[in-house]
Amino acid sequence: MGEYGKREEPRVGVFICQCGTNIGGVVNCEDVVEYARTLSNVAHSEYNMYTCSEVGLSAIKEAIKKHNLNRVVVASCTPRTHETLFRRTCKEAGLNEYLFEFANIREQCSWVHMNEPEKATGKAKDIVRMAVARASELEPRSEVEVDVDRSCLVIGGGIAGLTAASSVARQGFKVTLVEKESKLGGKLKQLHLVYPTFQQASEILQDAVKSVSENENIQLLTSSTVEEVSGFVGSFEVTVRRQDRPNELKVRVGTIIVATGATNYEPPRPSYGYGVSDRVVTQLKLEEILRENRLGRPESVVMVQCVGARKGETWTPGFEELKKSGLVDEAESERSVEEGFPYCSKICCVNAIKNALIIKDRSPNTDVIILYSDIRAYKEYERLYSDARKKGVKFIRYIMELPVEVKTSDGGKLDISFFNTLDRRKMSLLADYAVLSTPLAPSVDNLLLSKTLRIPIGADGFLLEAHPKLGPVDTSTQGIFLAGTAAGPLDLAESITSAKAATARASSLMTPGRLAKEAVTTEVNPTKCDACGLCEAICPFVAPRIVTIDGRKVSQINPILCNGCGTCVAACPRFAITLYHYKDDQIVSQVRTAFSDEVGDRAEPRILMFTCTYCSYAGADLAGVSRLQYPTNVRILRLPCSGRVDPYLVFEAFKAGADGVIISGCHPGDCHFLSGNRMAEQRYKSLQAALDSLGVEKDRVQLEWISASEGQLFAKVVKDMTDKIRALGPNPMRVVKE
Amino acid sequence: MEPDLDIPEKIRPDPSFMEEVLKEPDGEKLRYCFNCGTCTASCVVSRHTEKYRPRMILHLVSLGAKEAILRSKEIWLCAACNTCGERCPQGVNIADGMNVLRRLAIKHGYVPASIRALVSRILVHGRIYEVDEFVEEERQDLGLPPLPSVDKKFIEKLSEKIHSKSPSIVGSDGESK
Amino acid sequence: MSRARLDDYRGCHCGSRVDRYGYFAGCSIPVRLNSYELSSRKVLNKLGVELVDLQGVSCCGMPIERVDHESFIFMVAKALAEAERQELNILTLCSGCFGSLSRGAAYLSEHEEEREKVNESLKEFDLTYKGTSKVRHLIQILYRDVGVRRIESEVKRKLDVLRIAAHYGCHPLKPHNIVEFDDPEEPHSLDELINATGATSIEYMDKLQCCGSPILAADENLAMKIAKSKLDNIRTAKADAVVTICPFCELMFDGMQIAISDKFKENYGIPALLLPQLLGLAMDIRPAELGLNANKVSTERILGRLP
Repeated sequence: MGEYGKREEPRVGVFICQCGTNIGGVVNCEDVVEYARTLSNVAHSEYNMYTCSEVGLSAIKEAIKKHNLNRVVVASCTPRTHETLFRRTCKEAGLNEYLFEFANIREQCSWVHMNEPEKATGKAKDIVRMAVARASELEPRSEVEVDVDRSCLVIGGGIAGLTAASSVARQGFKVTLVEKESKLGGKLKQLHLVYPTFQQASEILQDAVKSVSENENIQLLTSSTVEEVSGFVGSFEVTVRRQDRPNELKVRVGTIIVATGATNYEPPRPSYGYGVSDRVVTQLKLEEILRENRLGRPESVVMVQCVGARKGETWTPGFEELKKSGLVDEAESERSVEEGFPYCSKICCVNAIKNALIIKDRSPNTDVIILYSDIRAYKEYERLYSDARKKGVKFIRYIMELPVEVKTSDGGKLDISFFNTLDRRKMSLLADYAVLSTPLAPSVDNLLLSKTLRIPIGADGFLLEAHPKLGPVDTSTQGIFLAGTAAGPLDLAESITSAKAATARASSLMTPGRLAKEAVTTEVNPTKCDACGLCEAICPFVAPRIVTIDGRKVSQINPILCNGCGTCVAACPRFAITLYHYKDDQIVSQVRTAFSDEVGDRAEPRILMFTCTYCSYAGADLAGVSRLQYPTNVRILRLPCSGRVDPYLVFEAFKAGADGVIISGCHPGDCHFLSGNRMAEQRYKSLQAALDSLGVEKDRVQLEWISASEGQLFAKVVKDMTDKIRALGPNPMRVVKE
Repeated sequence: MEPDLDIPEKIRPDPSFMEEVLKEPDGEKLRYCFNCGTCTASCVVSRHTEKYRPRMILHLVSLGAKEAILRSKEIWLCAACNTCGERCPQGVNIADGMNVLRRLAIKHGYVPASIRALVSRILVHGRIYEVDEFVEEERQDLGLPPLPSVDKKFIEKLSEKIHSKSPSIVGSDGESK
Repeated sequence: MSRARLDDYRGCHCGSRVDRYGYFAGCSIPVRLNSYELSSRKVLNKLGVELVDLQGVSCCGMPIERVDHESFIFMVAKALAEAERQELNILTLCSGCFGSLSRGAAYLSEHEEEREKVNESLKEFDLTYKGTSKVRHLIQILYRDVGVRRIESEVKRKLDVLRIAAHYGCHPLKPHNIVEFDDPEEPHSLDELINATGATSIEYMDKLQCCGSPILAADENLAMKIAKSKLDNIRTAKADAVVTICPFCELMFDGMQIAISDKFKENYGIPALLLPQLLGLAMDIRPAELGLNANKVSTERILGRLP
């Protein structure tokens, strides 16, 4: 029986689980076992009360030995519970774990067809038949491992970079810290006192610099930039250019942390009077003025919030009403679209309040007025807001659709005019200083950085994290992590926290020193590939690369970077790419055995559903857990991603006798593989056109987005599709066996 | 007659007025006002005239429109029913606030004629109305006990206090009119 | 904020005498509304509450509160200290006096410095303000100390033909954190007292709105407009009479009703009674002894219908 033997004759063992009454109470397991025996390639078939129990697992191991099994099918609950367990059991019995297949006859059968035991049993038979067919096509696979160099490159020497560098170095890893300026510190150098403790920024900076300069594990390269990065996780090859040296420096690192920070937005002159009067400054400039104690004791200081931020937001309730009532000049409101960014920079409200408190502290008689749209003083910073009010800082709400205007006026004052929403009228304040609270904006280096590191930029221009919840400091490129404001506005504490998070992520790779990959990866057949570059273009994980081998250009996929979604497989016009464990013939084997004429009523619609494992399959399971009942007409296939669905699989489905096909994936923006579902959507459109020419009604194929939490939606989709297909009638392509 | 409140379009923020207000008894709480408008919404007077808006008045106080407020008629329109104070989410009693503004108005020389007349009656008769012999007789006829006599010494002391703290309460001819 | 339940206060006597009070006459009642004092004395006498005339007191200080605060406090402290000297709690019939003395007392209890200052000024009158005398309004005595049951037991003539619009006014209820009497948003003390006579205290629009009298001097038209809106609502609710517990409210609904009727070309004809007058009628005290002949708006409409 050898583990890595050549393609041998499959001897499939089928184990039906009764799961107490969960399955056994609806599905006639004996029948299914009998039926399984009749299938080709099945060498043994039995049923157990609880296959996942000690008894059940032993039974599997015994059967493997006794009957010389080389493939195992367990028909029970959902693979999302016990796939790992059964795979391990097979491994313990000497069988490669990738030769195991799961048939879901509980969540997706017995639990959802509780009132139709006959049909449920019939469906269970279909599901087992599909699993046996697929198991017969499975091949043994093994996991790939790469070495991870225990070294890290930190790009950026601001507080995030310094924190990351010293945190990584303290764990014993070598760090190369690259900073483009001659001095370390980034924005922190320009700050005066930081909230909420009102400590001196310079103190914090000193500590951070010290912890870096004193650490022998850190190689500090100031006045340097990263020129080129090649390689992949575990063995990045980095080229660093140094301003004062002629030669470049080459470093090899296992991981990279990007902490390149952000810039401070300045409004274009002369808007807001910026650049016209030297008493119109940004908050960052105010930090400098306060640090050097140059403010004096002015009569009044007006701060304007949201300058250059939240642009395009036009939602103020009652704004339309104001226009109609004539309180607002129609013409004025039209010119409200000005330069700036659409997002909220989060930190400017608290920062303004902090500076207001500092001014009030030094000059209590100075009137400080903050013109705001909303005050976002989150966490414990609400206390700073209350303090500010108590100390007499005034807050007046203006309207975002009508930006504040700053002009110089006679008598040396600034005339700051705005629409006061609480008074419902336009008014002016004659003040000495106007301080503009502007957002943190993406660094100008981001574009170049994104190309050098091959990491994406978000819609707002900041570097994009892999997933806001599942990977907040990861990037879509393995081994490269984000820290600090490079990914978006953060305050000091949050920047430090994110740097430590990035450290933890990088350490999780460097500590074991090796990285193992699941065996579901892709490979390109060089003879079929003509280097069209499509796979390289669409893979969000940068796994395929066009390389030259023996003088010929072909695509080569890095198995470490490949996430196994199969989107490139479906995209490849030459069918040159194979996704192991989800090969075309493995999938087609299920498609062709999903429906049989022996089982079921010909008049009943037969619907095949391709689901993605992370969202839609999970949604189907949830429907089962919730015991939502739906028609028995759907047979579900589990794929890594909806992007794996090649249109030709849909044709195969119709050829095999399906009356309808559903392709189901994660909601747009939520794809576990980032962009697979978008590809699925595009293919769906061209698929519909093609179906027309085959004489198959367009409505027979549906594209659905079902998330893991949408059990109800799943049930509804099944019901609706069943009704729709019933109305359409049998598939005109169906080869009817007489 | 006092002029209507004239809301200035251009305001030069003047924190000294707010400071003055905060120093007055019952004035400290006014700093908590965040302009929600609950007072105006609850106010009986606001309901029956468009001129009176307590929220706006407090808003202008915080901005420092001193002259406009102190010389206005509006601050004398509060009926002191205290509904605003009951409902203010920040615990500010706006009716008390109006009294604060009135006291400051008087101190700065803005004294409505009716107030001057009222004060002078108290300082002369010890009461808002004089208890003359007709009143005494009426009470006797009804079988009511005689009223306590006014403590003249006390009224004198009171007069001293008022005149020293608010000199403009006295009319231009030196007499309380 | 201030939605207390009155039930918490029932039977709370705060350890002081509940049958004997120092009567604070104020300015308005003796000169303009002796019927209020007359009817109150008659009713309280029947209910066993003794009134002792306070000496050395005249004006409560309310008009001065808007002129100078220190002077205002001086007046309040003098009045309260006089009551303390006579070891009496104060009972007043006037909501204005009640509000003024309560607020003044609350301020003094919270501001020690001011208290010391005013006691300095009171020295020459041989007085010290200690804060021991409580300030009470007639309705508090009737509701809390005497109680509805007692009053019911004194009713000899049930007034169940009458629909009464209760007018609480403002100062007996607000500000709640100082007065601590009835619920300012949903009061029921006055309603219960009226119902005790057999009459029905009805609901009507804007029942708790102020009468407008405080701004008569500042803007007479506006004040009358406010009172008119109350009269309109009372009329719409088909009340037989309105009952008040304050001389200013009473003067507004009684004497001023005629002026309002003239000005707005209306003919309300709604009798305005003071609470003790209503209670007195139920206790079978003669109308003349309750000063009802002095009411400007004719009370025949109700007197004629009583049993």
